[in-house]
Amino acid sequence: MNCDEAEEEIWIFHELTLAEQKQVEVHLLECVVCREKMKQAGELNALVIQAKTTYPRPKNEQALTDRIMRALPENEQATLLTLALEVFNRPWLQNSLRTAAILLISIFVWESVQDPIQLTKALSEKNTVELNSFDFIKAYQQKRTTPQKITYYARYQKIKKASI
Amino acid sequence: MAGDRQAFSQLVHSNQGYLYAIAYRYLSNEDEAEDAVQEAFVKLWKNFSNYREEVKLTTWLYRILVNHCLDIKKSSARRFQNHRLSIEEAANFSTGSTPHLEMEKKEIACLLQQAVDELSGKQKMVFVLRDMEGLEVGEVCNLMELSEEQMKSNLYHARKKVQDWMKKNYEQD
Repeated sequence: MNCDEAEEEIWIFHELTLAEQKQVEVHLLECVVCREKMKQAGELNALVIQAKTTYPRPKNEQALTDRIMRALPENEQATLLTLALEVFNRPWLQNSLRTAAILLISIFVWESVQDPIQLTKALSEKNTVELNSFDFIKAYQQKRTTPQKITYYARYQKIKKASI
Repeated sequence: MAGDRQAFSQLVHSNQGYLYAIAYRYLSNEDEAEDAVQEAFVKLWKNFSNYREEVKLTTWLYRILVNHCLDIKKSSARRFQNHRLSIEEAANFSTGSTPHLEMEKKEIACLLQQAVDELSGKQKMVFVLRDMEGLEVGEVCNLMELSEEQMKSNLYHARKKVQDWMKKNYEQD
């Protein structure tokens, strides 16, 4: 074991297996630098043990119990729907969704105030196609409607002839 | 239903202190710690019908609290400024020894709390659960849903940062 390998293990010495601890101990016997690190880790451990004896407590324990009991809903049972919606109660998710919504609205507004898209690589103006307008389907509409008119007219002529 | 509430009240009473200690050590704020404890119990109450007996009830409760605390930290709305404990807040640490020793211990506890405040979310929670609350490695992994390797890596970085902070600030004072 070298110093780099020992570095992390020194700080988590008590979380290692016995075999791993032995390896660290062997390295410590021959390395002054790592022995110093082990000493620092021990000092921190001693401070934590001292600090642990002071325990944070609520100001008024009974008041906290009462407050929690008042906050419990009367008859609320978890359903699949409430469990699914529970995910959205997470503040980080709510903030992400808010940001995404603002971004989408901004893109929509920006797009709507832009001029219609033009094909800029057309060779001449007459080859330019303006999108976002119905001009380009007029020809198609005419083709579609004209034969229908002829058909109706021919049918009218036919009926007229028959009646004469 | 009334019986359920009474039993639940007992559960709240016997576990709120431990939950509060975790929440306070993680959030460094009394009001937020109380809110977090309340939120954990309300979530437990609402989802009681989904309780599986193979998981210890208290484990489930602590996991709710840990997730809630980590979520608060993730929220960008919360300003995690370097919180400095006031004398009044320090007074809420209970020790139970002579006044002089008590003062010294409170001072160390306050300094350590400030050092812990400098840690990032998971490192802070691992340090609080393992070092401050004395949970076993397996319990910490279970509560935080981390592998042993991830837990050890977070613990290593946390301890090293806390030691550096303490060295810089404690020895100067």
